[in-house]
Amino acid sequence: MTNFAIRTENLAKIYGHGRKAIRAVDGLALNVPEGSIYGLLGRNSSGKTTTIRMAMGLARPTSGSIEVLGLNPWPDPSRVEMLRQVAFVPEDKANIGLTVRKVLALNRSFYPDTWSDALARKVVDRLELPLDTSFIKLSLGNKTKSALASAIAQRSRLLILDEPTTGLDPVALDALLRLLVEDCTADGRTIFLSTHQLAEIEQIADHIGIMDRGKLLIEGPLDDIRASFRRVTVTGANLPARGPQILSARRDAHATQYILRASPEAFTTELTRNGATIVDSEPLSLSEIFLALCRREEGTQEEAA
Amino acid sequence: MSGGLIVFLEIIAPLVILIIYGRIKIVRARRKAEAEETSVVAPMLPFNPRTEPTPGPLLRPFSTPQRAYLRQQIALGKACFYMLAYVCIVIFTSGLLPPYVNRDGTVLPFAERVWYSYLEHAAVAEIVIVIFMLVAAMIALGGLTNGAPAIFNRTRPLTRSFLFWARVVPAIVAILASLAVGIVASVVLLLIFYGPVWLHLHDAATVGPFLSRARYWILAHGLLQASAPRIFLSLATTALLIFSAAAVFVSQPFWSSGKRRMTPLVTFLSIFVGLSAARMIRHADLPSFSRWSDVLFVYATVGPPPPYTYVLVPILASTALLLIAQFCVARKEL
Repeated sequence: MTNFAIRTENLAKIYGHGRKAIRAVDGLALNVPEGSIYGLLGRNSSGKTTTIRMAMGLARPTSGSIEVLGLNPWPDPSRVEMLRQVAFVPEDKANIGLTVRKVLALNRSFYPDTWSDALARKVVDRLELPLDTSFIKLSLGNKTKSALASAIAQRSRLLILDEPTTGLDPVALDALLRLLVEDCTADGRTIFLSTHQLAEIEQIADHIGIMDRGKLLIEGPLDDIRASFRRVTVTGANLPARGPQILSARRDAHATQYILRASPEAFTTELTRNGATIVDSEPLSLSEIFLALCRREEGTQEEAA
Repeated sequence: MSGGLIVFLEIIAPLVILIIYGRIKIVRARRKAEAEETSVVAPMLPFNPRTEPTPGPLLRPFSTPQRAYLRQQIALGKACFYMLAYVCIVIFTSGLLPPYVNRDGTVLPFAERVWYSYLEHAAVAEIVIVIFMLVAAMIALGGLTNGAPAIFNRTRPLTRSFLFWARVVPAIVAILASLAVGIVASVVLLLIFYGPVWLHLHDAATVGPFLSRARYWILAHGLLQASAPRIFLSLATTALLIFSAAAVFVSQPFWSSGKRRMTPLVTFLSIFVGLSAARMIRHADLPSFSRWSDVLFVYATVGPPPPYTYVLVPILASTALLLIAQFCVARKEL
């Protein structure tokens, strides 16, 4: 049986009342397996940060449920028990007005059982983090690195990172990805991160979820998701424009290009049986899958409106 | 030089010193940075944190994370204490300045003049206390309700009630301690410069015939009935009450990071409310307000004091307000 680091059921968060109500998260069913590197992807205002806030006990769900490491993150004392086992890098990387050295020393005191000085030194070294520069003088990238160093050195069971790449240059980003894979997934520990950096997340994540407008569009192991999407170019007469597997269909002068999801092989077999010719069939990158799903959702919403 | 100008200079002097000190620090840092650019850069010291110092008897019952948080709050409380203690000393001793002592001429005997001026300034301090308590509540609870510090604190493994009381208790202790220091310092200065004047107050019946009606009224109805211990006790209970009310105010949802546009408006409103409250306290001797000022143990003018039994009212009201603030902070979302 799979254990889940984070699990939500029909989770919803509504801000405001009446006509001004905003459904930031809408019926979310998220399953983050323990020991995975889970990337939560989504556009701006898709509900990623709100979901993370609910997971960290900073916001209360309007309805539905959320469990982090099997614990309810809102009420005390289960919230405290959960926070003992979770490291967190928030979206707002502004720290508490101290030098990096002092932030690390302070955070060390909060997690005496799991904190590693050696790992803190390693992260500081790898990310080339200035320890004694005053907070005001730190660049955005260094503020991000400071928050990351603090969280990684905690060696918690679950590491929640909200936009952890803000302000990082490519070298620092590469160093961070290596650190996450090498030092944060040992002993069945879980990384849950939300990001816009699709190319980078594709390198390290083994599970992904894509959110848009508060809803989860797709979730699962990255390899399974990649395998279930294909771009197929077809020629022939009477080709279908809609169908359960068709995410999008674009007709050119000579051929039709489909983006397909879920059993694309069955769809192409059916087309071939009806006399169509498959000109080309290729897998999609994560970025292409993301765009196709978001555009489809946008179209569905517009049709509904 | 007028008394008002002296008090003003006393209050702004530390600010001017801090600004000059900050400027000197910046210039020195710039020179150091320039010197480092031309020399070999010293290697950064590695991260080798000191082990936690042995906790004292006060901190021993708490867990390591709790102690870490408490040490932070105690440091913040100390900073508040130094600032408030200085302000209290300035305000309580301002009544001892000769321009204030002799403000109304020399109709009253010397001992009465000194004692009246001293008590009047101590009583008027309630107005300043209102403003400082608003600021103190914002500083104390801002770290749980606003921005990055609130997110940091509320994602550490500490219960919400601990997060709240560990901020509020050091703040209250700092407020009460600074008042006590201000009172003790002012009494010491009073003794040094004027001696125990309260032992030399004349009987109103004896002195009365030689005084104008207004002066007689001050003496008979004000000074001789005034109670110094109750003025100081009232300062403490009023400070506690204002701090608790401001804590409830700061913990409301509109004071949130998600509505930053509202913050300047809310800050302005809070200052306005604070000043209005201060004005009400200043005129607490008005008949319509005097009953309420008695019940709340507000004693802001030299005159008949409120009964001691009412001291429990602001203490109980403050406790209730702080419990409400704790409830609101615990429910507040970030």
